[in-house]
Amino acid sequence: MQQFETEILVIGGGSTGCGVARDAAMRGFHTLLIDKGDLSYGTTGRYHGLLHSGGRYVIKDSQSARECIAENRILRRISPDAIEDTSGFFVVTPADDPAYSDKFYRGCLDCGIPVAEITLREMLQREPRLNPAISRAFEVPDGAIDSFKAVSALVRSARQHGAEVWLYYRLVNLHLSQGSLQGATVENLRSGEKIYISCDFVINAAGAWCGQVAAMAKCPVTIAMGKGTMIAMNHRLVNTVINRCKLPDDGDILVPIRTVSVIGTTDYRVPDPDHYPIERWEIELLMKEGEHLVPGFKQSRALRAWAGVRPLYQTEPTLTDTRDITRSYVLLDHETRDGVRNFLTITSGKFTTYRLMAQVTVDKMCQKLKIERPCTTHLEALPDSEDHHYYHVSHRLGEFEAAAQDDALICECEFVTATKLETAIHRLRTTNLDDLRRSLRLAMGPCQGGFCIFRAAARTHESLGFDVSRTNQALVQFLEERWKGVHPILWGDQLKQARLDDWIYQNVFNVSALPQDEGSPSSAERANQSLAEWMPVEIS
Amino acid sequence: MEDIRFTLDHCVKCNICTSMCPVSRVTPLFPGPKYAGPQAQRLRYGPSTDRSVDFCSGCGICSQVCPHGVKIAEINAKARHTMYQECGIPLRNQIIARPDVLGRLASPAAPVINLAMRLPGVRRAMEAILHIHHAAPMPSFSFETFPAWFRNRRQQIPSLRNPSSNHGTTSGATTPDETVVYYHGCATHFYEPRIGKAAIKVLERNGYQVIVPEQGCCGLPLMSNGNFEAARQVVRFNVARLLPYARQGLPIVATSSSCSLMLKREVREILDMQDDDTALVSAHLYDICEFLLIRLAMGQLDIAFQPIPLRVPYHAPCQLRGHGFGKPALELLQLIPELETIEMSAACCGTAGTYGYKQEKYSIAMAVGEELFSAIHSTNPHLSACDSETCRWQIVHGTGLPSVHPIELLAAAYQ
Amino acid sequence: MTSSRFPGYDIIVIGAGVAGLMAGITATNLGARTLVVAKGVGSTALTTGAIDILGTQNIPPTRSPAQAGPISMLPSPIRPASLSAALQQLRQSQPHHPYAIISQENLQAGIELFRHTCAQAGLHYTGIADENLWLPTALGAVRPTALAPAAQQAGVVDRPEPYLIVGFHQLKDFYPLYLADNLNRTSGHPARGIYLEIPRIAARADWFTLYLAQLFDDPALRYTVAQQIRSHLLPGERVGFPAVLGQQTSQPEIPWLDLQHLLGVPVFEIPTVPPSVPGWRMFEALKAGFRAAGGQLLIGSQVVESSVDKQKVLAIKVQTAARLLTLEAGAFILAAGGLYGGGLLSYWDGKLEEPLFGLPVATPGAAQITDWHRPTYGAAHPAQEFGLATNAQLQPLDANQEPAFENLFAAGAMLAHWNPWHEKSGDGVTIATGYQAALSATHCLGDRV
Repeated sequence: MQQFETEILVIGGGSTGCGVARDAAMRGFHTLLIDKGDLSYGTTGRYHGLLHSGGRYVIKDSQSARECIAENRILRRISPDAIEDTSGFFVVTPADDPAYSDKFYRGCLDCGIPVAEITLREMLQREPRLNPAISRAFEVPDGAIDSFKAVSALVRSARQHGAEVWLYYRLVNLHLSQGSLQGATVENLRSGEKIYISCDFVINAAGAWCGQVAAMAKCPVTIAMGKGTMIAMNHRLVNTVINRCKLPDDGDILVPIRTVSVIGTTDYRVPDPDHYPIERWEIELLMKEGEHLVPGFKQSRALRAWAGVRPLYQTEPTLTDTRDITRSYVLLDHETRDGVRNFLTITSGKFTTYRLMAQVTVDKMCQKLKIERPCTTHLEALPDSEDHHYYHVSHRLGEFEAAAQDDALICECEFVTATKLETAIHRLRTTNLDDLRRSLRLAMGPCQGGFCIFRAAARTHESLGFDVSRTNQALVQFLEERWKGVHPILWGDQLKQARLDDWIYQNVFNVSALPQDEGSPSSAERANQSLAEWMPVEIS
Repeated sequence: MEDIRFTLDHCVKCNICTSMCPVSRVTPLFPGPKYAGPQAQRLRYGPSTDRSVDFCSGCGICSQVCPHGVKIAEINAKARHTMYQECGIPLRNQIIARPDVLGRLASPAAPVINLAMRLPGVRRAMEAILHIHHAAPMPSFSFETFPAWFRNRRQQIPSLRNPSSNHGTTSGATTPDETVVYYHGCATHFYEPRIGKAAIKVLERNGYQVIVPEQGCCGLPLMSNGNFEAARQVVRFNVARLLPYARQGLPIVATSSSCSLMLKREVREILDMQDDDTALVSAHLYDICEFLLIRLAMGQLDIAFQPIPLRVPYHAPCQLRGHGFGKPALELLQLIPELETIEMSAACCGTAGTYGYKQEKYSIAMAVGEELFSAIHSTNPHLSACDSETCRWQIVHGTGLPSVHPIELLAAAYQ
Repeated sequence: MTSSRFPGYDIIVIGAGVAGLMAGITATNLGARTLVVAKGVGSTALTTGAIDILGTQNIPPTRSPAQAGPISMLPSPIRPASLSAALQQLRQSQPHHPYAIISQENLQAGIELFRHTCAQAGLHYTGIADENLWLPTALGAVRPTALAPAAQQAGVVDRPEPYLIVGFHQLKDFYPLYLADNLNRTSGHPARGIYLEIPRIAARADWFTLYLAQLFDDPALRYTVAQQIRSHLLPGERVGFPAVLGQQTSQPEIPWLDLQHLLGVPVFEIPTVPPSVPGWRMFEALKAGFRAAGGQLLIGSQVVESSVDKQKVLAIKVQTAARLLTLEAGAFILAAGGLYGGGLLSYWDGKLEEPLFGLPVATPGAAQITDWHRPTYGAAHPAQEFGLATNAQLQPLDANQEPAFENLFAAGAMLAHWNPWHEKSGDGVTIATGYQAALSATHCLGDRV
């Protein structure tokens, strides 16, 4: 078995793990991060993209609210390239208790969240599609943050500071000896090869899977999994984050993120972080709640539904409503808790507070290692954010328009050019079209890959030269994966789209007749996927 | 009414619009209607980042062929407007967008100006200064305007039935069964009074008393050159003049299918003029061939046409097709004995209003029109017919042959 | 004044897809004054240009979710020489299927009319309509089809020649190396791909196949391309192109024949994603056939209302720029497409609607919205078979299973109980039902025609 040595092993390639890896690397630790999938594969890549002002928590969880506004300000400084400065409204619809709004307003003031009541005229002028029956509206500094883009930048920063990031490496085991973790065995899921990693310290940031990771170190950690379902609507029904002015509840927020607007979320406890189908009642609920915010919402085109699981640390395993569990993060010191000296688990929390979570985690590790190295993650802008400009939805259009349109558009919906796709294929060296999707927003638009995903598959094949059945498998796998998100919302325009896509794949291409016999990767393919070549893609 | 931009939700990316776009097919400068319309619209908010949408000619074919109801051309028109708001409207666009102003200034001196416009140096200078292509088909100004002719012709007839005789003049020597209002538009007003004369002849022959109210430019050139606010102003002017007749239920008949489409629909869908007065005027507006075909269906059209032994290629302008009622001229011209009307299958003449005048777009417009020009030539090397003025001028320019409005053929057949 | 009226027709067809145009051609040929009216350019342009009659059998796992498998577990394809037998079997096993409603004679007559119409426009179809041809797809799979445009014919897997697949760098919808790698496996013949550069054209956002096709109308370009290919061509190879070989409508096969002549080997086209050039050629041929027969075509006008009495449809109303236009006729054929084409509408709450006449939408195998689709993509989905139930005359049935109106007929994708995606029966059913609907409608007019 190959051996590898590092100081810090971070498990989990979501926002928390990548934040920890960057923080540790910036403090001079040799750091390796592994994930069994792609970056942002888990909960990070499956949320609505809200950059919290903290307004949602002012009444229920003021601690969270204060953390949010503080981190909101820091992220705007260090990561503006992933943020759209959309601002946010809290609105009182006829379905909401009007008494809450005054409490909300005072709560914001108490927590230090800038808040201003705006006139309904101004509200409708800025967001003409909002319900004219809304009785009050408050503005707070909510924003939208693209988690794929933010995490890609985190990883590139971590790498600049010397960290290594291995994706599609599954943790097989943690090696515990005399109250201390000696190392870990990991498996390269692409090649099947196993590697032994010796390390001084392990940080478990595996999100919904962190109970499974902790168990390998014989530390019992119970994670409640609150499934949150969201629907992306085909275009930006609003350009400002719209929250219902009430205690956080199902379907109370509409977030404009990139080219879509996301209505979220539900909250329902599920047992398995790998399988949690979207249910019809969730769709109905979200469509109905959306109507309170934007009249005609139910007639608007839904693009895709998806769910993420909130990993919520649980001390009392019998609770069933996951919304009542704290949203603030949890840092578990397994030395005091379970007698394992060099092992921390960081879990729960929100995307907005990932940096803070990383900071307290690495602080704790330094304290345990008796090394004093201060956190600097709040001081240094992430790659592509150095010029302190916020992202804007028109960015890709402007970029393409300015470039004289001399590049073929592969994903027409999301303006992914041939050049960008080829770069990503060569950087990621993957046939996995879902990875390309996360890196490029490929196939995230109205046709959900109908017109672009075969182009991408063919280009990976022709660029990387893998066996054709691997390409075909990847294509079919993508179509199946995509279906999970579209079949719950197939009516109206998106049903039409599905039929057109059926026409293309099942009829024009007869995709079912493509050879898909299992082939294990050749040595050439393995070499092709060597780690040294791997680089995350700058997401634009 | 909902903002037409939200129709982008209906786009399934089938690309039928792009395949049918006459402009995108001849130039990469315009990536295509789907690109500029429902596709780019998802990325538009705040300051405009558009450039290429300026090369959309606004012909509207995309919206007509879309099987899913996406208002593509309308989305593009709005995006173009936003772009111009950012970067300013070029002087050239401001000039060519005001045919009424040009006409009022130029008509009194028509012979001199027409002569001057034929001097190559003048057109070269206009191209250098104003970026109006030197070869673009500029019409000649008429010395006698249509309203002047109309007034002179009917001075002795009291406008008995004219409900608004302060503003309008009326025709009709006989006792007409009905009254119609004639919206002639700028082209007939200043450049081609012959079309107005033909229209009056056909309407009067069918027993109508014709009112010609004071009127201005329909606003289409202003709108397509990105100046929405000025366009709304001229629309409001027209609505105020036409409203009294619409309130009485009088049909308002137009010989320019572009002007009538503007006042019927674009005011609502592109300029967002949703008021009741505008809607009432729109609801009473008819293209003249549409109007006559309805009369035919009611058995109220005099069909005693004299033979015209001719073979005439007929091009239905994009703007006419935009009305959505088909090609009524084809059915009317069929009534003329011995006249063989050949429908042209080419999509567009290329000029799309003022698009083809522009220095940077002239060659695109000519490339678009090429198919039509050669088809006309091979059908009849003497004459063609078309309902819209700028299209006729472009066809004359592209073929070197005269082009008439179908109403002129009908009038000629009423000998 | 909210509505006006144009002179009336004998038959009005709503929808300008294959079914609508075939109905229009049939009715016009039978002497009816016919108008085809459509909201936009229909789905014809989306097709491969080939006519599928029945490509797979033992279809529908739609009735039982347990049978719904992933894509690789689709029903077995029909092998050559069994098409009529397969149709016979289908009629017995699926009595509601449009093929079971329409006689074999009318299916054949419709297909013959289609072939004749296309041939008049210079577009020839090969195949005997009783066995399937196996043709390469743009990804290199092979697919069964009954009738292929002549320009696609030389791609059949039955021929012995190895394949040389030619792609163009500028065309983002066609990947010759990937295609050839698959075709190697799926056809049993050696296949290889090459890329060529189309001279003098720059990269752009979208080089649509129709734009490229227009370039191939130029003999000089064809000559240049043939020159380039000749240096790659090995003895005995046939040459496959993306379907971009010309778009002119007067003699659509000339560019293909010319390339074949220049190369001296069999040349064929492979249809690409919508809108495909062969689909356009077919659409143009049908339009030309309809016009030549004397029919009137109105595209870009949505029919938004109908006017009916208890037994009959009296008129339809079309949305024009400023008002509704009433169009009267003796009989009406509804061929407005299914849930894709917009003839049927579906809503978030599970409501399904035929908006013009309020006809009930049959939902075989799906009681509620959660049954519309299976959780596995490759499965046959019940919603793919939603549509109007009709009698043998193709009169749509009301809730009591009685004809809704004596002079209303339906055709094409609006009909229930068939699945073009999985059966590979798309244009066979649309042609046959368009033909049948026009026969029935003309018959219903009686002495009027």
